[in-house]
Amino acid sequence: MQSFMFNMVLSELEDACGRDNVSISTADKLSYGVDYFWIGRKWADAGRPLPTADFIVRPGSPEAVSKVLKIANYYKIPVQTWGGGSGSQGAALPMAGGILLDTKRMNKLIAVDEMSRTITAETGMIFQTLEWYAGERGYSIQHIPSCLTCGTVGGALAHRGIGIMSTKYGKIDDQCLSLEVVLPNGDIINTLPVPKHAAGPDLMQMFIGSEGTLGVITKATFKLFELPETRKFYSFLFKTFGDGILAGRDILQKMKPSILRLYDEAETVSIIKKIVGVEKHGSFMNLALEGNAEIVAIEEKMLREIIARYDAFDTGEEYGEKWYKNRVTFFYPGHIMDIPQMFGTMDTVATYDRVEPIYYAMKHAIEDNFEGVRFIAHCSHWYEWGTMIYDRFIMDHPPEDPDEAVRLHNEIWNAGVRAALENGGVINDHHGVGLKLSRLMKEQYGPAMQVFEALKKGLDPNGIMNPYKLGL
Amino acid sequence: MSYENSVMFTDRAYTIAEACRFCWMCRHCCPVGLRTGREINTPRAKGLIVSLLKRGTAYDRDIARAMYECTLCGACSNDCVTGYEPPVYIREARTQALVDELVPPEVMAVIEHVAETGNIYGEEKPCYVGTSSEADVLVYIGDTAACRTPDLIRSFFSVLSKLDVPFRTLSDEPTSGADLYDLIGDVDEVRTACKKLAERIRKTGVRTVVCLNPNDAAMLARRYEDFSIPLPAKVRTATSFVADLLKESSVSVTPQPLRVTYHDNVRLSRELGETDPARDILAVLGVELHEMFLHGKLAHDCGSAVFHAYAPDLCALTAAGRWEEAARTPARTLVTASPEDYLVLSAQTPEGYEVKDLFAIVDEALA
Repeated sequence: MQSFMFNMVLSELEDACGRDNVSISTADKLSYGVDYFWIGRKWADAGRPLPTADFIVRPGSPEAVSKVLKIANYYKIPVQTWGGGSGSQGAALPMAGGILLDTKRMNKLIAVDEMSRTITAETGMIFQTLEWYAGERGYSIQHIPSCLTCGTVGGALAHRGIGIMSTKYGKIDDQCLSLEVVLPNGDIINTLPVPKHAAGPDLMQMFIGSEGTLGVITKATFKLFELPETRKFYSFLFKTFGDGILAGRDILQKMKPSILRLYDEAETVSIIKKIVGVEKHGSFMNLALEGNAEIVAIEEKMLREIIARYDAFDTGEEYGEKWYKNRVTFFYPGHIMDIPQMFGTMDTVATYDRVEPIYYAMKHAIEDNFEGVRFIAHCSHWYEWGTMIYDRFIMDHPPEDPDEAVRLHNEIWNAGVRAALENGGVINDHHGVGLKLSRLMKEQYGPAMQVFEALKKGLDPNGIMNPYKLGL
Repeated sequence: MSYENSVMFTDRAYTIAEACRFCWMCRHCCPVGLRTGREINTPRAKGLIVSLLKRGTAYDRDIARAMYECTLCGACSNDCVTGYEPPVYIREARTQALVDELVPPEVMAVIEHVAETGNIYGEEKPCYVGTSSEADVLVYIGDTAACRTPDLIRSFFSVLSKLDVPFRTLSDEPTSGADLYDLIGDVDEVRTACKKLAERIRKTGVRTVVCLNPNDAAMLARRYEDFSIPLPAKVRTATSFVADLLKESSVSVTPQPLRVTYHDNVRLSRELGETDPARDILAVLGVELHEMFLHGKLAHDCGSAVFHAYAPDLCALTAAGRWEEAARTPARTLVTASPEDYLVLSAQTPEGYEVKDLFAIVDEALA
């Protein structure tokens, strides 16, 4: 910007949000320069300049968000929305400079409707806080991801997040009932009060997963579930990963475990051994049944019949419970992968007939083509028709040079994701697309991508909302 | 010590910062982060900044100010499964800010108060006299109670008298060093203050020091040991001391018809691991206790006296946050067991609510 134009925009933003809620300080700018995306971390670790916004704004209401977007549209300044910044896909990073809009001041609980069993909040609230509000009344939203304590309500919606209880209680897009959204032109809209209807296409689902490219989600209503009367844990060891997948399919035909996780042989002898303590070889499965005690007792009987069909070894309740107690331990420093390692979670979803072919295609694409890279996987979110593969690559000794490392990182991602797509997989189950997978969206959707592009062009003709993300 | 880019942090601080810079797990606990919504007010962001200082980013006034937007309540450390303690690098960043003359002026004013008068208020500290100059129990009153909440001292002294406990105090009571340690970290001035108080206690020959302020208790019980400053007396918190006395005493207690919630002081609960004695006292008093959803070691901090002194607006936010949590219980009375919490929460009391000091209730019950 020329001369004092910067100050003119700054004044307008301060007028919209309050002077205390607009910042151009170094400390603020740096704090938004890294999210959970590996490349951002590598850049920070190497002391390279981080992506920074010119203005940090922290609006306290949808009206203030509206004002910010109107200002941004007038000056054609990019706007990147940031919640907790815990996303792994680089979706929140201010890659285009301009405005970074932090939603965390919009953190109020709006309503708990015990009659309808719903809860409504502003989207800058940390999801754990919302879950605490529900818990105070004896309910749960049952969105319990590993990022529960660090992601915001809006963040979970923006990338179509999922929690460990998803197999019974659904993904965030199943749990959400309605949204308030500020469109790029500043208009504040609401989706319909309920998600099931025959009033045209699903407006709400157009915004869930839009990653800040179509507007800013400012309010959301979710289902509330009564806390389960009982929760029982189980764990089993299958001879092969394939046996476990088939058993999972059979289980989903009879019941809905809240937790159902199946680890491949490589992950069983590494992460599961380290955190849960299982020493045996095979494919480890842990699950939980919960709800009414009598129903759970019947489900347990049916579960054991299915497990017996696959000749799996019962490793006992203890390991299932131990996994649950340690479910977030995996993500703390010293337990999770970190720089200098290179790593990524490819997170593919597919129908049951494609799961094993995709798993092996990705494993070969990565391990056969990239020396020193290992591939591990588990299936942690199950549907009646298929499951997701939480497939990860890990390289212990990547190139030290950041430019070389980033090139290799992207080559590995291209190889893995393309192997999944070629075998009928979908690019991502619940981490989102962001900057990381943006380039691959057209390969995923083909000509169908024009639908998203038209939506983007219609709602955001100036292209200010989160540039370079989601392939838009 | 490590010396790089003229920034000086201990290896321990760097190790913790390097672990925290890419870890998001504890932000939900941070009272300042939750109330301000600023990303920099998360342990992750502060860790990231410290790691960037090591990599050549210049330490400036913006960064220094951010390092003071923290109550050092230890919620992040308490949450960390791995055992990392973000306050270590935040304190050291404050030390570095002092060395580099980057301390924000409002903080510097409080530091200067300590230099001039020994306490953060910049006032002459009033003296309070115990019941016996030969007593084996010394009550360490602390700066905040002496300068800001004298009623709490009177209540506590009255309780001890009613429970037949002779006690003494220190004339010209020296500071514990707790506030200065939070302001500028582990520097010579802090250790000098600690040694001065330790020497005064040693000279009394008492076997028990009862700290009215949990912040002082944590300093004496934990930091003095870290600093290799011997204390010849056993350090007790006022709450644990009185709880034990009430258990052993045959004095009659009049049940108090109060419906209360109790705010756990964070130094008491997290640093000293003490959560039961205050509740034991409340049980003896027969009050109806309604716990806040986050209590014990998980309690959100309301802000400290020193935070209140240099960042009153931020402290008002953290205190208001705790009041919101209290207001979600059926109680209209919030009980504190710390002069600092009493001071901070009283300043933000919503209409229709009251703050009561635990020992004031005990005093009434023993009357």
